Amino acid sequence: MADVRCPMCGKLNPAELEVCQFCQARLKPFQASSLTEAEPPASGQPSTSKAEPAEDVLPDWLQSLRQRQESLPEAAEPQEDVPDWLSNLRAPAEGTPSAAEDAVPDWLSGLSGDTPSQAEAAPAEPEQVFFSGEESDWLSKISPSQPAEPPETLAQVTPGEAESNLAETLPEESPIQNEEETPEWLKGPAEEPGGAAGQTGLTDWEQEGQLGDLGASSETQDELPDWMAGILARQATGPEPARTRPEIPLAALGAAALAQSAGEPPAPVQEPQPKGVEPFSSKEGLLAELGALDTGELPAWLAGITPLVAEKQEPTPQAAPVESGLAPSDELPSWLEAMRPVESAAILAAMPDLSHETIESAGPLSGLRGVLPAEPGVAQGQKPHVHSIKLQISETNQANALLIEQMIKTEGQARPIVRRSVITTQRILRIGIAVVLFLAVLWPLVTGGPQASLPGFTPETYAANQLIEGLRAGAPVLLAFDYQPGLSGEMDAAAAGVIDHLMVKGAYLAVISTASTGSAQAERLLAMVNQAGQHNFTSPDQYTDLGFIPGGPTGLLSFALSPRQVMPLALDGKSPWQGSPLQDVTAVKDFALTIVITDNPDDARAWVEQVGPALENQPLTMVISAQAEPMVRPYVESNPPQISGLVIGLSGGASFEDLNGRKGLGQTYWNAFSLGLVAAVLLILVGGLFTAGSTVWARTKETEGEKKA
Amino acid sequence: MKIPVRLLLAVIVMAIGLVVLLGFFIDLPVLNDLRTVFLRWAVILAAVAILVGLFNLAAVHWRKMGSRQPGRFYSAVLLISMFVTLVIGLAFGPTSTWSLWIFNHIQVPVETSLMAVLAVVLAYASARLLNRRINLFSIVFLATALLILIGTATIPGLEVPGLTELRAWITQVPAAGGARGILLGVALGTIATGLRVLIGSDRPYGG
Repeated sequence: MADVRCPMCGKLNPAELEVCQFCQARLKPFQASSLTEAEPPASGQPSTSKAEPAEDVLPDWLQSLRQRQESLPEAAEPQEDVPDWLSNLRAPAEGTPSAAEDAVPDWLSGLSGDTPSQAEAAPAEPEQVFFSGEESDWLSKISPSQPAEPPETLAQVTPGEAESNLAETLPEESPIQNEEETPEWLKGPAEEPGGAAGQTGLTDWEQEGQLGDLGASSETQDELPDWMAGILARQATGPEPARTRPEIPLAALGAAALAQSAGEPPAPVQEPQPKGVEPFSSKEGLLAELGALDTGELPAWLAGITPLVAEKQEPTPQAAPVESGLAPSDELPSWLEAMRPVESAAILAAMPDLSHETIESAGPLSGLRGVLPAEPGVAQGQKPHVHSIKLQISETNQANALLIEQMIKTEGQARPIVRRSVITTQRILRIGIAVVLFLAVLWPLVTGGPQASLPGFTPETYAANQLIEGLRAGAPVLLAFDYQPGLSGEMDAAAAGVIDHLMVKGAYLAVISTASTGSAQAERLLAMVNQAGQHNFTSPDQYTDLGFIPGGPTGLLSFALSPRQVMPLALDGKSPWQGSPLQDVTAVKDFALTIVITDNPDDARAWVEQVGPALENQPLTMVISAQAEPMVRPYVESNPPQISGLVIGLSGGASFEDLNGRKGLGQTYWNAFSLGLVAAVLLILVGGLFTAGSTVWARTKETEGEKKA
Repeated sequence: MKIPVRLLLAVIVMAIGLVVLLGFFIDLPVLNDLRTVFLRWAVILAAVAILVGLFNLAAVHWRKMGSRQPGRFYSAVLLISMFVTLVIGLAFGPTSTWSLWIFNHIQVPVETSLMAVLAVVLAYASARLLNRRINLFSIVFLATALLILIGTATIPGLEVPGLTELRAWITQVPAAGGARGILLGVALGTIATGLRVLIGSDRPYGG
């Protein structure tokens, strides 16, 4: 047979084991069906054999309970199946009352007065049948004379004493005095004070009920069945030392029935404390005896009560349906049927009906019925209830909501952009300015006129001219090209006259640059001037291109301190410092003249500040853009001047050429430049006046409109 | 003993700065030689920095060209231009005929055209200056620009006496005065920055 895997630890166990040999978890789940089958049927039928296969699974206490339950129906056999022993038991009770009195134990004498109430209360509200092993308050009131007596002591009180005590302790408004609610069995003896019972304090059935210990009767003991004999033997030997099921004192059972009949709340069932002697240690025996009291043959003591009950039931018709409804069967009276399986009824009352519950299918509780689900909300997946989301609003609110919705929808829609006309005032103005400037520049270049007068030279320009003029042929001149190609239109025209003058003088040019495009600028301008001036200036005979000095001011300083180390090679890959006019140059000061062509005032300042001190007494000349003049002029006007000569912009180039008497790019561009400037000035002037006038007019009109408003 | 990197960097910078600075004031061959060496190192590092910047520019535009970002076409043009120019410069030299052709026929016209457009835009903005705001400073600014322009050029057939002198006065007195103030501020700022770097208060090198 295959092994069984433990649901808790997951280890394999032999199939015959009930619990896991590793974690002691139950391997074979409780069979709810077998459990319910093991329960005795309410009708008192014996249990079937369906529970037998599960006997080996059931614990001992459950098996013992089953045995007792199986034995109980035999005792509760109907009248036709009354065993002999019960007949023998009844016979002495009827024929020999004295013997019966001797046989009835004390606890049964106390029970005799309580059994009717149990018979009425237990079937009607089985879940309210509570038993207490200890005396509660209400029970103490019932027996005030013995408040601290244990239940067995209370059970020894005779029914007459109990009733008298109960009558004394119950209040006047107690429901027990109400005839409609008072049990008939309780009212019967109380309303016959003049009877025989009233003389002795006991009724006939009470007297008959004082049978003493049934087990003590030697006459009946031999005829009892084995199970009954065993019960009696246990009674004789005393209470069982250890009981797995709570034993309910029958006296407390009777007291609970009395309390329930009186309308008092029942006390909860509690397990009695073990004491020295437990008179009701074997309820099975008692139940067997009570089961033997068949409805057909009531004992004398019970038969005496019956007429009284019947007489009292006649004026109270409400009791009839209740009693008939409580009757579990047609064969047994309701009170006897309810009282007979006391323990079973208690178990049934304590255990709710689980037949409709689901059986756990997994986990350690597998097989048990009525187990709370681990995930009650999640496991029972169901479609959520659909609630209506329709808002109940009035028509006015609905109209307003619709209006807001339309407004929001309108805001979300993109407004069509008003297409502006291609030709606008601003566009016309821009195009007009461009056309005017373009014509003003092109007209002198194309037509050659009108001729604008050349600008006059400035002292700085004249100084630069004289410095170049003083150069000897082949004198090394450091020529720096530090301007951007975008400004080459102005810078080429400004520097062309200076370079032409240098070529005329035959100076040896050492070209250098701090801009990455400086070498290309130099090559471009030298080639242009060479061609325009019809010179034969070639590299490396007449000039050399040392290349680009990286590092900005730092590179300039380094070059000023050691030009040979910083620029060891020219762009052609040859050393310019060997075998050329530069062989005598070891420092910047060895150059006869340093000329810087730049459009950036920062570059000009770097040359002045970094290279100027290294030049010592050698002149520094600059060709700058017109925009750099304000920043460079302070170095010219300083004392001593840090810049010896200065050529500024196109006007300076044109004037420099005019000084040399050679026409170059400066003079070529001058006419166009002058007309363009004049056109720009006119445009700015006219446009400024127009826009200012329109603005003032618009503001005036707006002010007048505000005043009118 | 572990020396913190930031402390080591600060010590190096301060030492080199002091050596170069003292070389200006103290005429010692050792200081001059050290200053020269340090400056040459700076030039080399600056050249390497340009090369690194060139590679960085190429990498950025390479990633941009590979992605689906708008303007990747211009990145492709930049990379192609850079590659062609670099190849021609390395193969034929920076002053070769091919390199100068690219410079003279592409770079110079493009940049010069931008300056021409700038001239038109400046003229248009000057014309609309008073449309934006009409106050004293706007009028003074516009009048000064007109005087400098008209004083720089010579009007054919028209001689305005005193115009050239007025332009010279504006450029040599107010403009030069303002420029000197700017230069003095730049010099003081440079000194302060140099001192902060020398004392370690300002650490542009990190740390």
